Amino acid sequence: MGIIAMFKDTYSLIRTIIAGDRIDVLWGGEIRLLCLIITVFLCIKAYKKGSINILKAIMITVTVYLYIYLMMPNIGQIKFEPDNFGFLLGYDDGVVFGQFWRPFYLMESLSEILDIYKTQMCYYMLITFIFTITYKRLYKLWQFFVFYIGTFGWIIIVILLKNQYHNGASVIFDLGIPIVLLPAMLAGWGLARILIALNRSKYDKLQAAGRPHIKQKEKGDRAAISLKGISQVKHLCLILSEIIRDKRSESAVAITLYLTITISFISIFTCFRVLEKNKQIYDDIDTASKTYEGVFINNENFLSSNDFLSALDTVKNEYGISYEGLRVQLDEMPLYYDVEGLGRVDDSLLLISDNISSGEIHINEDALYNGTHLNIGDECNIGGKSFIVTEIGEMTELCFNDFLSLNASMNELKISFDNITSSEILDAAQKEDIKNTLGCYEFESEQDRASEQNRSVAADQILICILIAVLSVLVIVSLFKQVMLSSSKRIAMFRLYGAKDVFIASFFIIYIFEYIAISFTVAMVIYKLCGGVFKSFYLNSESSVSMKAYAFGVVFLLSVIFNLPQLILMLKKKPAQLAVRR
Amino acid sequence: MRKYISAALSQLVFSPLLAVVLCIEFVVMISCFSICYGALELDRLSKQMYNESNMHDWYYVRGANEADLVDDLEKYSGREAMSFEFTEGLDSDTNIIIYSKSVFDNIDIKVSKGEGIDTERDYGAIPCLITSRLSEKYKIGETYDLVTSFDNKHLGRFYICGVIKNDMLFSPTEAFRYEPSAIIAYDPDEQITKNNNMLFYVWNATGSDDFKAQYKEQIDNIDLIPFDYYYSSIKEIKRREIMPYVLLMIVFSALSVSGLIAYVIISNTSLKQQAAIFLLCGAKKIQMVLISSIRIFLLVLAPSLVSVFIISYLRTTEIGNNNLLSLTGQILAIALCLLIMIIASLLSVLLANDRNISEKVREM
Repeated sequence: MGIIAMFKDTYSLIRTIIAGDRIDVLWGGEIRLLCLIITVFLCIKAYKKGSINILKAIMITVTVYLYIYLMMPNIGQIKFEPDNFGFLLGYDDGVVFGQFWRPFYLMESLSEILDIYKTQMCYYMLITFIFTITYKRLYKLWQFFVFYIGTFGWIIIVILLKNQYHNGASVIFDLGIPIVLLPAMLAGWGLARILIALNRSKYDKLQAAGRPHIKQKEKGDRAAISLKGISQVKHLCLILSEIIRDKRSESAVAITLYLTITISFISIFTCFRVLEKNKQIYDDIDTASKTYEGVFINNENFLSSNDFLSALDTVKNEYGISYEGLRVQLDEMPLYYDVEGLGRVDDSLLLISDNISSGEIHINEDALYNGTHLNIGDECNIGGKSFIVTEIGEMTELCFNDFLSLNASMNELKISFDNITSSEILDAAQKEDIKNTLGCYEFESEQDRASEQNRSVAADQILICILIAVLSVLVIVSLFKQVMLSSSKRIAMFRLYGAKDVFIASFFIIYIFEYIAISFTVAMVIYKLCGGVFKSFYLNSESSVSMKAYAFGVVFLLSVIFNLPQLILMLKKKPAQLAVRR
Repeated sequence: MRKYISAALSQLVFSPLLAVVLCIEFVVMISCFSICYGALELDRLSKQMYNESNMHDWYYVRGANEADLVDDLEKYSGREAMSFEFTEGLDSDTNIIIYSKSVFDNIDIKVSKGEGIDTERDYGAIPCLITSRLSEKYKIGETYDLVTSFDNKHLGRFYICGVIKNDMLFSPTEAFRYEPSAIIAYDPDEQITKNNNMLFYVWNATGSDDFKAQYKEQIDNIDLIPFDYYYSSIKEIKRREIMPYVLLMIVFSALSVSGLIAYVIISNTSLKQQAAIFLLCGAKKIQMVLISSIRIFLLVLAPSLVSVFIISYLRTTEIGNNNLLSLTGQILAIALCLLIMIIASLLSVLLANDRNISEKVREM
């Protein structure tokens, strides 16, 4: 995937976010571009600091680009919705091995293998060659094997997780690749070693550090070890090591925190899933956007039946719509059904143009006329006009012409359509025009109605997420208070060594983030594994990844906000107040 | 004992917000448990009635000419069909359903209080069974003149025989139905003033080996519908409806347990200093554990009491109209909370080991 493709994917993602549309899939280019940008940024920083020289910076960038260009395509795109398919390529080795090709075992000759894999072998040989020259830490054989396992190992793990998530083989991996490419990679590594041995001085020059390009700040009267001078990365490492140490000393609190946050996330996801069953999801969104069901007409707009039918023709011609089930009901309807539990229910007349002549009527077999069933040949009077029964069937049907000549004013009629279908998706202005022309009470497509319903479901999901998050965060805050109090001595030490408020604040925020991130991941895994349990509870609809990400954001934000007062209190205290004693 | 309770209360107050959160979680858990257990009770009761009355061979009589079909059936077997007449009720929520004698002969209607209707006995009024909501207003063994609430029309003199168990009625249209406000009456003398009544028939084909062959046409034309068809469909629908409550119950149970464990951990860590002072003043470890247990008991008691009021309120809402909020379920949920409390107390015992307390004393 070239640079242009990466930019295209990124641009399309940004456009989707700005438009407020749902993100269904990440094509991969965005992640690759992000990796590349981060690499370039870090290389520039390292170069400016003097850790590496310009040539090495360029080579690092090149190796990262080659890696994401050639190796990451195996991961493919990231879909946020479950795949609707699952197949196992003819192997019945279960979900693990069924996802992987093993054509290697099916091949008859070495030439066949070379034929299929020769391009990849060349690429990987080249990559390994460049990597070995660029990175000092790839020089030894065991280091090469670490690189080899790392190259393919994480891809296999990601694919397994993806396919577990999607409940099907959404990404397949050729297990033959790591086996076939090992000799090629070894060859690349070997060649690089030979080249290095023959050009040792040039290699040393490449690996030598560059000159720093930043001004050295004047050192104060502080101790030799000062937190001011250390890099951001080292800051982060220091914070993470302190967090790990904290966990060892307060293991009961740490375990309880993980447990509480994990259960909170699982509860939120479960509630999402419970509410998700109320969502209306269409397989064919296009058809749902063009179908308008249960359209009722406000007859006050029309003086006569002719007016109505003219309006209908206008709309048909202008917007290419078709309809089914144009029904008419009279206020004084002699045809009715006797429904158990409801009593008398008036029948409606379905207007048709085929298989019926003027003066004829088709009657539903269950319909009653003045308390009795009609037979073929009987006469009945509807709307001041006499009709002869010519058919007994499933519907009560009347001819269009007879509708026009019924002796009933528009106020005495109720007109409705079973459904109206448009040839194209109509915009808001067109829908409004049809609604006004036909005099509909409402003119909403199935997709519009579903969107409204789904919006209210989403609102309910957000509400329940906030409710559970608030309940959980109040517990989490109390636990974090313990953590902060137990860390007070450590904070005092940091202060003594010149740590600023930003460092201490970032310490706690990263602390909170780490707990929430790990608990979120564990909760996602457990939730995914319990998919079968949810299905046995008739909860088959899965909530979207964006909703889960929203839950993560809400819990994290609320945790930070609710912990702020305690954090500000800690920041205001001097080291002596934090009870530092010799 | 008073000093232990006052010590426990003082410890409880140290984290009021957390206690309130736990209370809310426990209340939701108990309410959901009550709803789920109520559904379970209804399911068990319907199954019991189904098996006892052998409803597998029952048929709903439908169709345009059901009266003729019923006559034919009665002539064929020499038995009477079960008839159910819905008539104008006391108000919009309360129906009066008049059962024929054969209904009482075929169905053993379970009562939770009082007794069932004896069709051979002369009660001096119209004997009836009522549901739980009406039992708050009408006493068993008393006779009442019932009038409609909207137009004060006198319906008749009714003698209250008993209260229907779990408000579970046999429905002539949908197998079994939970109806919190209904009256089942036996009116052989047709004393009840009827208006807008609807009549339904159910036929018991038990013992008629050739019934299906004899009435194959009616069964194929859906004039006779097997009871099993409705029973299994309604069961499936009810199961789907209750499942979200089951999940919510499990979720909030997990939240409550984790919240309580968190509370115990926090309180034990924070109250170590207090425990150290108690030790210095001569308290024994068993006394400190007792105080901790009383504190946790109070923490669990509060939501149990609150849930009683919440569930009473829920009974008057839409949830209460459609679901049985079982008292047994409520008690079981509170018992479960107490079990959790015992586990939490044991946890606090484990955490309050001598080394921790002595370290704290040394620090002081």
